[in-house]
Amino acid sequence: MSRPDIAVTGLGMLTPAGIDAAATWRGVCAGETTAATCDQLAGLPVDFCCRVPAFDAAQALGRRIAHRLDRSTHLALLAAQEALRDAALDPLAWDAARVGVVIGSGLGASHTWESQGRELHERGPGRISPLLISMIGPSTPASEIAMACGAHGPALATGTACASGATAIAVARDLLTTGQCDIVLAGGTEACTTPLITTGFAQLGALSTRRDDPATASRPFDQTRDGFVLAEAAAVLVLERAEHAAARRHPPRALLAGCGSATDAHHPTSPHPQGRGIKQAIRTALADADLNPHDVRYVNAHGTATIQGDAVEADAINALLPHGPSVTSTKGALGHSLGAAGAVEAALTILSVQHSLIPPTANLDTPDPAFDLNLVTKTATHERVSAALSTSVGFGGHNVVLAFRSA
Amino acid sequence: MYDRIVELLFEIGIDTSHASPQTTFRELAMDSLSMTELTVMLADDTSPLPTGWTLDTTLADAAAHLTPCPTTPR
Repeated sequence: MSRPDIAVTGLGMLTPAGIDAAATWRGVCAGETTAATCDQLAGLPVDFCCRVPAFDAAQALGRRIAHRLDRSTHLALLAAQEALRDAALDPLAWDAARVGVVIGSGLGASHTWESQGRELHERGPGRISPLLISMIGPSTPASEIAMACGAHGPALATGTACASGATAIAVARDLLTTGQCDIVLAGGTEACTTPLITTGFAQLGALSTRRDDPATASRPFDQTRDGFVLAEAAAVLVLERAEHAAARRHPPRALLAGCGSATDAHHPTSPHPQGRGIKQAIRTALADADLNPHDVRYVNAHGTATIQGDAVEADAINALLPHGPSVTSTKGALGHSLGAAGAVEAALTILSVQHSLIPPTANLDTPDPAFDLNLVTKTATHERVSAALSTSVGFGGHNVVLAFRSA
Repeated sequence: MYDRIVELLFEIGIDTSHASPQTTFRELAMDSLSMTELTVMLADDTSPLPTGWTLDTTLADAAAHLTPCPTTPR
């Protein structure tokens, strides 16, 4: 069955490397690291993380909107604003009923859950904000973006743990190919670097414990990796059928060629040891995109820097793409932003396809000799990327792979 | 209590730069959610909680309906 090409016509993101896409791209390509000790985590077993640089939400969104929403929604709204500007779309001019929004998150409104829980226990029920319920809804980032820009089509939330942002983009693709929407804003958001969430991951043994040198803690695919570094971020893409973008004469940054989703159905937190789900997702994405494995020139890997996760993913990439495409994990620079990561990395993969530039994996000093991968280290490499994959893996066994082609 | 109401309105993100005692809540672009939030926040300052306010109540009338409760800490 022939499907319409899906064009990526805009993108926006706020990450620990910067509060827009350009700053993030510069930082990631330079291999700059962003993890640092965080005052809010002082005294905890893991006291460092990757935070988005300071920004004034009240100034950027208005005091009232900023007051009413969790930080994760602030990030999503600002990423969506940038994506719309990038796509040169005027919400006053579009057919609002044909515009959808899909935003994923791994944990939702972590800051609000935590601060209001503290209020309840310390100061009583009278201190609970009547805004609480509207702030913590999983669909709040999507509905607030819809309200802010006047999108009257479906506004959906995806929840597939650390693959949520990638799932949002896959769902958006379906909304477009089935003709339900003409334009979809899709992405992910996460603002999770709170004491409770950080400690929860630390207790699980998932986080790096390099307290003495946080900047070098996120070491994807490195022999000395010891877990991931928690991060916050948001990224939003504007997707349209290519013919729709062409009709308004807006050049795509790249094409979303295919998507593959699969579930390990194996364990709450560990990947399937033979990578059953990630392999199935890669195969499905390749078939969906009508790509042969050797067409893939670059993989922006999930690569969180956990011992087991990186090993399973490296094996899957090597098994299914044995020709040795360039591989990067941008989490070395940005840390792991859970439900936002899939969208951030999709955006970075798109920029690699568009600019023929592959960023390095920050902190990758000694690639694990057990991995037979063509890992990009130290400096960005110029290489024509006609097709690329972005892989995402989440607790619960969620695997999502997005395939992008040059426009 | 007028000053306290204006202070709390500012705290919940309402633009109070043009507020006066004769301004209504509606004229400050308040909605049902912000009215509820204001009422909850006033719980520490007044007893009993204000009732009968609408979006068309002026700030002066709202203040007049409130009885300060000085023994309750903020």
